[in-house]
Amino acid sequence: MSKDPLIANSVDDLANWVKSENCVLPVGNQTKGPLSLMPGCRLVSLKRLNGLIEYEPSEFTFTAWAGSRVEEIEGELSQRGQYLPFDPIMSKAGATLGGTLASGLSGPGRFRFGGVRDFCIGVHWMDGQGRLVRGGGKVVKNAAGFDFPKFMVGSMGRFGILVDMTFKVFPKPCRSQTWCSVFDDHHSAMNTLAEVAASRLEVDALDYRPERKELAIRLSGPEEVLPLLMKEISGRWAPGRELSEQEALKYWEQVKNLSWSGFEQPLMIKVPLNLTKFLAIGDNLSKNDCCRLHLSVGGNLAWIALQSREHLPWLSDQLRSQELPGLVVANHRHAEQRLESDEVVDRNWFQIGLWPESKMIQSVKVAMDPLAKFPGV
Amino acid sequence: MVDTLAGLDSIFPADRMLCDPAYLAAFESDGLTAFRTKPLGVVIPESADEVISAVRWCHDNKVPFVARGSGTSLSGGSLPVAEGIVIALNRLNRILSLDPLERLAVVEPGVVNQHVSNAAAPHGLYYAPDPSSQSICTIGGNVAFNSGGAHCLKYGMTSNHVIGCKAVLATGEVVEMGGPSVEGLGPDFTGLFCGSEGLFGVALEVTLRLLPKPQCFHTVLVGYRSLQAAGDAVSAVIDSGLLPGALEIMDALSIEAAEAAVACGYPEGAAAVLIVELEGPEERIKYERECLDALLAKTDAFAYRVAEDETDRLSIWRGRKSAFSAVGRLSPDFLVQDGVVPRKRLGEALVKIEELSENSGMRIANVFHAGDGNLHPLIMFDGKEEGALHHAEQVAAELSRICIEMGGSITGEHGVGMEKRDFMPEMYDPISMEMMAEVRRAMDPHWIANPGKMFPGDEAPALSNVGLHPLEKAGVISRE
Repeated sequence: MSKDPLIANSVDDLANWVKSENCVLPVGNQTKGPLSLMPGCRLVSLKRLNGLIEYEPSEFTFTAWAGSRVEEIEGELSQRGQYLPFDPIMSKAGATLGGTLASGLSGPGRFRFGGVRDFCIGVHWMDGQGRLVRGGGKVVKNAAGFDFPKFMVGSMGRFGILVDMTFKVFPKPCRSQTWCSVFDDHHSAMNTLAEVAASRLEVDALDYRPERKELAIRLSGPEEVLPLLMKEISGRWAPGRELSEQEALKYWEQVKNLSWSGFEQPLMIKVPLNLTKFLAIGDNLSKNDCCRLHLSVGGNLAWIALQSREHLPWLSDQLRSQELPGLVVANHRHAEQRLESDEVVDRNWFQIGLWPESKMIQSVKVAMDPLAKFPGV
Repeated sequence: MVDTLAGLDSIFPADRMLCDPAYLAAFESDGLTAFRTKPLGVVIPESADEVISAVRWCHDNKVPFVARGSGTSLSGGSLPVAEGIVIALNRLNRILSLDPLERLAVVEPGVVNQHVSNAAAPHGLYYAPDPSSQSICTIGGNVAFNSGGAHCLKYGMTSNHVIGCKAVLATGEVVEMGGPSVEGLGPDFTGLFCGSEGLFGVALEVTLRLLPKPQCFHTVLVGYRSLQAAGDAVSAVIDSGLLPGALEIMDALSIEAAEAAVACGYPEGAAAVLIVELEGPEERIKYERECLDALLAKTDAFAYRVAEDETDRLSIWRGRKSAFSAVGRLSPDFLVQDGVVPRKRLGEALVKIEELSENSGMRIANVFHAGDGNLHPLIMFDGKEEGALHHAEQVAAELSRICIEMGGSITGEHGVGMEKRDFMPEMYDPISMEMMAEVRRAMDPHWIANPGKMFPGDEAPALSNVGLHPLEKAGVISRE
């Protein structure tokens, strides 16, 4: 089966291919390689179904095609003083809105106002019969019907093809400032992280680089206010230093674009966890020179970079020991090698560690995709 | 005990399995008092295991069940089913853990919303969703109906604060969704479960995200001579880039009611009042209040009151929070809707409501979460007059249609429940309705979990015409 996706120019194209192909995996710009390839499935790209459909700045909402590049949408929002507060991941590389939702990835800004799950309020998706189905709506408050927009977060194209989506947005803060403190050990760093997170300051990102034992605190808001709040941060959580504008930009862009590890084309693994689990696993992971960590979202999310895929079984065991799941989201080259070498085995190789088992997901899969037109769960 | 319930008594002792009609009367209605149905029985579990056993028994015997907390649903979401049982969850009211470091609480479904914030307060934390009935409504009900409150614009609804849930599905399967991290992998079942109106099963444990308590508030009450002027002020606030915690409007009728009920001291002669609340660190609020004052000064306000302290702030909110039950002073009965329209169409919606009021001859008071376009028209009627309830329902139906036509939603925070189920096919196309039904069937093949809600066509409860909920009359709860 061809690795080159069919590129849809219209919703009708999607419907036709869903009906004619045995198994379809929707993709965007394939920035998350392991999630964009699947043996035995025809890839269908939505990258030409892009652009804003509706944007009402006064409503704090927009609707766009799933194939829209996040970076372009962010640009449109920025012109009207608005933004997606969850810092969508891999926007520079070309990530699309659909891919962002389907992979369920949020960046450091998720800490304050919530993640992609909290900002997507409506979706249309195509089911296995080529029919458009609607979930949610276009207003910021809506309690009618099942919350399919949330369900689609992290659904990885297993239940249908996301076609368009409506997001809530917020006013963009005028300015950000970042403070970095370095600690002697992870325990004291995590204690401070918890203290900052529970403080009055309303920080909007709180990340930790275990390798350097460095805690980064980002504040956003009006220019007139930030220096006053930074004064408290520098007093309470010294020693440390405020990053220059350039340094701060680079730091957060690297986190957003998963390019902080220093490895060339690493495998990037998303691991949801909490402070306790990080303290239990952080040291072990740090001991392996081929493994680097970045703790994001106030300690709720670890990004793990692996230099090569040979270390995946080791990492999987480490995660299993703490009953943690992991999702390999990059990189493409490894994914293609994997596809070529293991054509028919282990289709979901990118799911490592311990994933919970439940009959529920199978039941819902059958209910939503009775013809099994999308890859299995 | 009716034969249908044979076997259930092996799970529950007699004092926690109620079948006497006198006891059942207390469960035959909820916050939507216009409807009532007597169930076959009520069981009162004291542990998650007993809930699981009850649900499995219902599954095995194909007996419908309705899980219920404090029964404050305004959409008839916890109305019993005549051929089924009620599972009353009030005794599952333990906060199982509260972790200030992780800023999480794990609670049982019968825990009262306000109690979570009370428990978190010593750690400087709180639970953000604040439905007006928060002093009595339970987390299980909040999860089932994805409850909102006055602070949704900034903080979102219940589902934005629930990160994990253990539940027993209607099949008897016990499932765990989400977990102790705000991030997750795989499809977001926690998000799907929130707002599913009890149609999938019963929550047993809920993991809640806690937030740091805002350091300070700046709350202002502004009086306007017209609703239009108040609406324009909301647009000015939104366009300014400020993100208030709350933006609320009340019209003259609701002000009159609130004044009569709690003497809240709102500006005399106001056609509308606007409440704006900013919250956050002192330094930020000091700056933002200057911005807010400046922009509100340019609106057509004739009265402006700033809360001087916490007592004053609460007195401003007392008028707003009491508004709905206060309307009971103007009318023996009323229906409250909670449709949503795009914010920019609020003015248009209010004009249509006014027209509807004139054409129908029914008085309609308006209170709304202006920041997110969430209307709360209160349709007043006297249930003792023949046909009045039916007439009020027709007006409510028209209001739901107005919201749909304007691209909004039939419900912003009360849920569809029994009350608005007939409008779901008007809001969603047949394919989308079918998809919802298929997913429901996957969780509940026998269609026994809270039947009669969300989907049209299920059994209809009896109409009644008694007025306010007893707790509402007593001033214990109020409607959002």
